[in-house]
Amino acid sequence: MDENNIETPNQDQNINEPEPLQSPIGKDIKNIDLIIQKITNPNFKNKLLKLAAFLVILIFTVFIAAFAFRMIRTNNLESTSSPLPTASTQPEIKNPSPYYNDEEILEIEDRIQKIEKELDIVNFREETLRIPSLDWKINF
Amino acid sequence: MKRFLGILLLFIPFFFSVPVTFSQEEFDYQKAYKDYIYTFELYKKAHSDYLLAKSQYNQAKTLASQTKARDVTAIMLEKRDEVVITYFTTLRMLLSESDGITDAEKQGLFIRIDSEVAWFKNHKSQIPSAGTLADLSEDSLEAAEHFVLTKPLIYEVLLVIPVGKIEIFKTEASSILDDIKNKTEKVRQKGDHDTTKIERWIIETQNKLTRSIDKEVAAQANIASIQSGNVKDKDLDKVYNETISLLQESNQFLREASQFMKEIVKEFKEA
Repeated sequence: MDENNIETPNQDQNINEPEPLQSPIGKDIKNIDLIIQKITNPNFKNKLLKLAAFLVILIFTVFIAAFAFRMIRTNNLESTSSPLPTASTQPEIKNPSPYYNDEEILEIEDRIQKIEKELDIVNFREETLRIPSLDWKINF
Repeated sequence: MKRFLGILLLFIPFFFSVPVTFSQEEFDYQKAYKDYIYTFELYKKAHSDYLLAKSQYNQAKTLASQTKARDVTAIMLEKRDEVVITYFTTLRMLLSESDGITDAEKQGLFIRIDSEVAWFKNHKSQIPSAGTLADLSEDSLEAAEHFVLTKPLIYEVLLVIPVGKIEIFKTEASSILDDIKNKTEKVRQKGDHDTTKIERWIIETQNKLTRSIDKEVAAQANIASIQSGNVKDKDLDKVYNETISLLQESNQFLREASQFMKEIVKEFKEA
């Protein structure tokens, strides 16, 4: 009974001694081996190459787009800007006639618009030039 | 030393340019109006001094208060004449810058305005020679009576200017309608667009223009009656307001005519 309970130094050694492959270094080595195996795998190699090519093309495209956008904004800002839309009171013409874009008609239309504006804002009373109010009755 | 001369050379054109800038400043309506407003402010101050001096003199009746009242009243009367002079000058400038008035009409009004300016300048120069308060009262009455005579001229100018505006609008609207008529005739001859409705609308537009002209003619008749002295002093303001109303009605008919012409253009553009 005593003999069975006494643990021999050899038994202790066997239990506490770590296995070489279970250590972190050992795990890393195992992972590296797996990685090397994967890398050397021809299928994985192809996939990686495709991904790299895609990334290069993407970066190149983004760079070109950014450059072009900057060029447009700095150099050609005026030429690329479109006129601001203005509210038009002109009635919509659904069925245009051959005179829709006629030069003479457009000129007449332009003149009407001008005179219309002037007729709207004209003021006939010269309020600032009313007869001055002066004291004409001077006596003592 | 060289640096000093360099700086001096830099400033030389500036010194020469300053008087040139001042001499080139044009005397226009805006400048005349500013002068008038400034002169009017000076008059108001002088008038206030006059009222105070008059009150003090009426209370004290001393020689000192009498002398003070005389001096202050003389200044006030001079300022009053200056207000009239600058007011007429402003009217003249406005008239000269206004369009739609014939040169002959402008020249006739300029001569009359200049005559009034000369009268008040002469009157102003005589004020310092007034020895007593009674003399100043006499001078004041003389100017007051003359101002009543000049009032029709003021109203006339104030009405001729807006008539000129209507005249310009009427001429332009008639010219546009003439172009529309010519275009309609061309289109009718070509036969690629029905002009029946357009021709009817042209007649409607012409009627609006005619009614506008009628109102303008009535306004001109009012001006003529002011000019001929048929309007009494107390009625001048009333006739002025009536004439302005006639011009506003004339303007309204022109607006309606332009609206009709817009519709004609739309009819041209629509198949």
